[in-house]
Amino acid sequence: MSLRQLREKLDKGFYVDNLCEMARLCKDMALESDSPVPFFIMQKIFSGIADYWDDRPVIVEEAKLVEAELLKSLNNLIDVIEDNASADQLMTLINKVISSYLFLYG
Amino acid sequence: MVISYSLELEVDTERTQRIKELAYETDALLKGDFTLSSGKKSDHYYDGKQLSQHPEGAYLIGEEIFDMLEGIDFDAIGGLAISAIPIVTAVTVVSHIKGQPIRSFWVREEPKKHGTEKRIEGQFKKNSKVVIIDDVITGGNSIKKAIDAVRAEGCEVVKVIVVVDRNEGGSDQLREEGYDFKAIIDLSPSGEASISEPSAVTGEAG
Repeated sequence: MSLRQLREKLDKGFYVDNLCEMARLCKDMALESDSPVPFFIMQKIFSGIADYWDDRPVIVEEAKLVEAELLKSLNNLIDVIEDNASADQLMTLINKVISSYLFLYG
Repeated sequence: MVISYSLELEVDTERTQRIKELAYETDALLKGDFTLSSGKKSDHYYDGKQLSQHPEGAYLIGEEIFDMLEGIDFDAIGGLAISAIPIVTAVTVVSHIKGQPIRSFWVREEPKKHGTEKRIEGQFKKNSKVVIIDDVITGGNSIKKAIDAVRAEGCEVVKVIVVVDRNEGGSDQLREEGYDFKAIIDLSPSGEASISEPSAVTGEAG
């Protein structure tokens, strides 16, 4: 399981099957990591959106809006994880991801 | 007897036609720009819950599928949560009313993480014959999950029934794999609904 795989899946876009795969990937990385918090948060966000979208008509524009709101902060979070950034930097970006998610689905 | 047969055929065709009408009346069949679970884009969407949770829709689907099960040797019907749950429940209720009880079950998307760890809930027995039911088939992933789950428990899937076939490969795949597949309604590539085939008929001719 790797962050590269997660980025590849993020590039494919937001749709239920891919969101579920990203959630599974993040869960596996959380289990393997000594610092599971960012992976746990991402897993919950991906699975939360997948649950909300599953069995519901998802208009293309809505999916694009969600992607636009979340994609940048998710990629930034992955950057700081890869760079082994400080706990403060990590927390700042985790907060940004959570804020974006809550803006959409809070 | 011949007259009785014809009347039953007419009633069953009317029922299927009414199911199709309700699919439009309840806004179960939608037009727009949609992103499907697979990531594929489509200009139409079938929101099965609008039909299966409608009182007349639930009743008619229950009756239709009950009749489609005529003559099949099986122990229970079931499908993947959550879409299949109201449908199998409707069939179970109809079966009780008609005095020919049919047990039903449902399959969790993911196994329970705690407690009994059961993947399949309800009136389910291992190593039995089952009919898998769902509201819609597109690529077939959801139905395959249900099929895989029951087969892992030693069951034989004797038939697969859906309310709507989007005709996007899933039903063809199932037929190629040897499953006896049937739909109530077919969707054309443009999303127009038609009755899949002559509905099941009860009673004997002649």
